[in-house]
Amino acid sequence: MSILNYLTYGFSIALEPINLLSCFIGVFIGTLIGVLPGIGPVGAMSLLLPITFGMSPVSGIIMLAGIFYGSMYGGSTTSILVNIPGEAASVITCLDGYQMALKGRAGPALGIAAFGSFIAGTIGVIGLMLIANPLAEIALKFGPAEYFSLMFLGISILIYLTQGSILRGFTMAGLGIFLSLIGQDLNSGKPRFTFGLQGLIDGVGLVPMVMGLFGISEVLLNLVSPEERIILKTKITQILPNLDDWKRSAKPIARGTLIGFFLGILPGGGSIISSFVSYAIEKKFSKNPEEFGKGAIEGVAGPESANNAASSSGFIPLFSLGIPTNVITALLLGALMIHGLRPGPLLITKNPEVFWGTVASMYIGNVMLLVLNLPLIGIWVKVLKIPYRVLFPIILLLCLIGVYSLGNNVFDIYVMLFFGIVGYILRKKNYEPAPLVLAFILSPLLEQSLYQAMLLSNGDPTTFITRPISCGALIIAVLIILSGFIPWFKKKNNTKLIKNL
Amino acid sequence: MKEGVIWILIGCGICFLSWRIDIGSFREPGPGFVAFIAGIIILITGFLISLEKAFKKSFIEDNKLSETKIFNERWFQLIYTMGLLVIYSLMVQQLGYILTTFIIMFGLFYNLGKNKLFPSILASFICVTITYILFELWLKVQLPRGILPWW
Repeated sequence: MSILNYLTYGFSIALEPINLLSCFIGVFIGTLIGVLPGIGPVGAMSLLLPITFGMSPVSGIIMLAGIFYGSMYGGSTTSILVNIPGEAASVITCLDGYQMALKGRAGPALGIAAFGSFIAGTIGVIGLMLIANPLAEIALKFGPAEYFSLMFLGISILIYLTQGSILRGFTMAGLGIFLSLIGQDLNSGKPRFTFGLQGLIDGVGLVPMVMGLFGISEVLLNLVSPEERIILKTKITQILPNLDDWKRSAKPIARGTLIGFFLGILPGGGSIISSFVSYAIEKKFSKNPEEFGKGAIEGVAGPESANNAASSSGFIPLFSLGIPTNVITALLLGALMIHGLRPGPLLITKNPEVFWGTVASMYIGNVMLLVLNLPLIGIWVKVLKIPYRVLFPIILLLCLIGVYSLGNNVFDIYVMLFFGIVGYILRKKNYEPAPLVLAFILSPLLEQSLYQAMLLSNGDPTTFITRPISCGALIIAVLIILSGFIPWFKKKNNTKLIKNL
Repeated sequence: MKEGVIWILIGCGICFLSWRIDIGSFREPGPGFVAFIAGIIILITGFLISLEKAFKKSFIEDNKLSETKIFNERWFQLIYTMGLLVIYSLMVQQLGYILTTFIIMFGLFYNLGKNKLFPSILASFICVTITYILFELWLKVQLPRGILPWW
């Protein structure tokens, strides 16, 4: 079957009424949580994960994927109108988007963000479609040693890119590895690290943990340090960018798409990094770099395109290798497993409906987002006016019900509250929970690959360095770790990045 | 310094627990092998964080700038909200979803909504009704009945 045939097959699945509805709900909620500060895409996805249990795997994944790329669209609205990013990938859009709004150009800023996101998102999906399948075929030749090394590389890159100290990133990864091992040992069947608690026999639940770390802790942080939201009282009349705006934005959109696409594939990369890199590059390429930070449309077009392209390409390693590149795709990996699917190279051949259905739904979802974001901008502005005193109790209630409905088990609520407090303390002390979650998800696979590699090589540890791909991945991982430990190198880098921005 | 010591203790604890359930060797890893490595990672990083804090003041200052106190002047909001959530988790099975959720939501709305009685009662009632219809009736989630079995 050619790609076109597969795509037609994908559309036949994505256009089924239930999948269309799932896609719409996904992108709608994604835009909503992108607009609303206080809950990010990770929190929203974990919140809605239990709801997908009653759906078919395709509908569930379509909805969760929609939340992910939908939030990238919605995040720009708050950045431009309130100067508060709705989600982390839109932080950089605040710099020029808000300045444009102050100058009475909120409409074109929102417009170019939506169009740039649409173009980049669509190109990203085309790339996903073209690359994921061949990569999965190559990945079929990978053995446990390669998987072990690739996952180790993924965790290393994420630790390196963690904000703040690399030591803290390592600590978080170590903690994530330990937490993932709580529960029954796969080989012996004996419980380990359960401390006699029955609720821990099945291990620490991914969803209660993520909801605690990202949902509850976010609300607690906002409760103790509330951000003031001053929404511009400007009338958004002209949303369509003019010819000059298009001329100035065309190249940033193209560059942002490329940057986002390639950084999104890399483990640990993703939408946040790509938006920052895109901004730095646009500033460098610009003939008028002094305009950046004062309302340059390029500073909105590039990063917004980059974060959307990255959200599409992040699916490539997930679908073809079964390796998540960031917390959001890690959560999707968890969702695939909960739905009884085995992520990895065989997913595309064994469950083509999931892969091609999701890919096709992303085309449809991007069109839906364009419709949702431009004509309905007024509604999103109204959503922004919902006060925290109304929003936070609702978020907390949804977290409580969402976690309880996982298995009608109060123990899951305890776990969520525990991680809510842990997440609050960690974030107050500058520890990023992302490496913890990624390590938590990858560790069982990492452990399994290690055991299998040892079994296949008759206990010969050199198997990791005698196989070229495995050796290459390990060398890169070690170099990344070592480079992160050179403080002067890091300091110099940070200074450079800040200067560039 | 304290921060590093806490991580060292956690790392030691994980290593001890892993050792108790059999680490094995690299050639033949036991059930505690990977956890032992995780413990070692935490132990080493805890040690390095302690060293960093103790000796490299200039390097630390960068991190300290954005580090904030766990409790600030709004500490009461934090304790109050977490307290309500803990009470919720302890009472929901006994009192049931409707009653517990109403009480807790009222507590949250009343506190955050500048102590307005009637709007808080109304908002709590709306939240309970909508979530009950959505989750119990539509999504068929079996919410705890508690002392109100007919609901």
